Amino acid sequence: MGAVRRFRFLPLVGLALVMAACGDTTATTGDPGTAPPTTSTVVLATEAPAGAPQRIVSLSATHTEMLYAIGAAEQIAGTDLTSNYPPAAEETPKVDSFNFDVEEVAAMDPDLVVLAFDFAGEVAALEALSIPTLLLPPPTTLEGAYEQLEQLGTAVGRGDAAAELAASMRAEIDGLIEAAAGEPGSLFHEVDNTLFSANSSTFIGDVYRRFGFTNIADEVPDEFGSGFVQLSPEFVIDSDPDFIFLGDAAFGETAATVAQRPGWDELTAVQEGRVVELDSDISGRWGPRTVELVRQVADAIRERGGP
Amino acid sequence: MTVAPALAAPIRLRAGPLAVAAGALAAAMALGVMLGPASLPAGGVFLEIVDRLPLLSVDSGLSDREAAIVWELRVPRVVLGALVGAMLAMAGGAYQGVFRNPLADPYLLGVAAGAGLGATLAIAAGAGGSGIPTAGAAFAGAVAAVVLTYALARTGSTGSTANLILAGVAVAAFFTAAQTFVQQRASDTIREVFSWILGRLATVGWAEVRLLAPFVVVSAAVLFASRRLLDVLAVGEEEAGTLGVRTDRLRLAVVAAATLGSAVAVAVSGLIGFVGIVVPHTVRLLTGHSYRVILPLAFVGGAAFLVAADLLARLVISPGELPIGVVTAFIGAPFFAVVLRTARRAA
Repeated sequence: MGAVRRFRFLPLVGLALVMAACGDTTATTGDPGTAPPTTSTVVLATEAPAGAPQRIVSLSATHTEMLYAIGAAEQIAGTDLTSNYPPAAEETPKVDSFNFDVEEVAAMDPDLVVLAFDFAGEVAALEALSIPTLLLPPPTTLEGAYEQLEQLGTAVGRGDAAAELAASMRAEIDGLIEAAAGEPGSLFHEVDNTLFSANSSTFIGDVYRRFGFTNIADEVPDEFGSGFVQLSPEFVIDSDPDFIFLGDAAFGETAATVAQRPGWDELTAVQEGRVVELDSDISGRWGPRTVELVRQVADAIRERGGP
Repeated sequence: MTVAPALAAPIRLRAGPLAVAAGALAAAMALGVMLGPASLPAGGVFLEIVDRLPLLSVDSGLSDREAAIVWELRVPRVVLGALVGAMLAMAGGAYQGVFRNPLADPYLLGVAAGAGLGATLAIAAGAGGSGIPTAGAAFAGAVAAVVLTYALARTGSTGSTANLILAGVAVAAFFTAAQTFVQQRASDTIREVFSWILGRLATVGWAEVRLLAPFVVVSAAVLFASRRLLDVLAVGEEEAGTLGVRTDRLRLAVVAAATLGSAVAVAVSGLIGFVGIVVPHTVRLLTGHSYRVILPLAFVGGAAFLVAADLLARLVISPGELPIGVVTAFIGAPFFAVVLRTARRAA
């Protein structure tokens, strides 16, 4: 299998959160938007990079992107299979974070393991081997993402670079949102073609909320509080969103396939050409490339016009 | 377990039970097109359907979008639910007769496991959780599993129905293992696979109805034609042989028809469990043991049951949806227990 394996990230986030809410007691989901992400067995480093971890293994594509962006490339000992950006990350030794094997990770001799999910007792397994871990679960707001970037930077001895990057991201994103100011109308964000969607209490939902969108998924009860809810086709058609954002474009969904679904040709977004194919490697992560996600949404509003 | 039907007395399908089943089906289908997350006026929905009938043209007063909800979503979904339910229930009844085993169901010979592997492979390859390519792969997997079951059973010593059932168990275990392996390797699509396995009518349209309908017609016709022979077979395989029934031929015809029909049903709707067991047994407990009664009543009753289950799946957490397989088992199992108790008391 020569081709790079692509992972559908957001759906798994949703699934994991549902699973966690169903009784998994690791309780890592919390509410990372209001409180900074917790759970860390590493003493947050404030000293110079000399004392900082030098063999970091990142089990999360988002945090791999963050590490490269704050100049920690030299400190990375390995990344997981989903870490495909920047291209240099492809060249690092790889582990499969979805079929987690603690031995595989330990063999890389890490002095810090960064991960976004604790699906299968990863943290406990690493702690048992006295490997320092930093669990940074998906934030639910843009602010949470900036905070997490700074937290990661501090942990790897690059707090200043991280603070600088967070500040520039914030400035650029605020600028893009301000320039697009207006009332873009309502939207449906498609996570996968079984019509799972993300409501405003998710990271991507917060991005849309900042633009002033009304998210149709907010009307659906979210029993598990995961922010990811499944809609029925009838509900989507009846809601008639002004925009459709496809988070599953990498999996073959396009404006054309959406138009072919039974009854969807009657949707305003389809008829007015407001079905936007997002890059799921960007829309499913909360790293430095969030700026590009925001730009893609801003461009869509500007080029395709609102209602 | 098998009880010989009163061969002496003429057994007919009486109008009463059939009318009850047909009434339930009509009511479930009517509610199915009326109710949904979008609140549409009942009169408008009715007129819209009348408008779509050939030669008739009326103004329903619905907008284009509302009309699409009625005609592109609700109507094909209700029709497909009826076809799938009818097929699975009738196939289950026929299986129970031909294998003389009360636990036989349409998935006995590996249909479910084969379809599951086929669908999982298609989804892992990027075909998505719904649509014709996934349905085609599921159908191919189902047929492959059943052919393998038959081939395996032939190598056995006696070639009895017991052999066939054991071969089915082995094949199903193997296909399920293969499916789990593929699913693990392609963990990014795991939820689509689960969603398919639990059964889902939400994303179906007329394309699926057109695909399934001819198979259901042919399969149901073959099974209906076998109803008298199944009654004779119920007396016992050897006895049926002495009465001139070619039991091997009968078995092949019934199994082929029931399997093919179920395989296509499963391919378009996912693995909806329990219908093939609960509906024919309920009919049997209420009306007696003749297949001349069970098969047609299971056909109509199965359609009503699945349309009603789908209605619940849509309404319980509206505007979200439950997987229909959850509803059929959750409602079906207790309902079946009640029927079983009542029938025992009455007896």
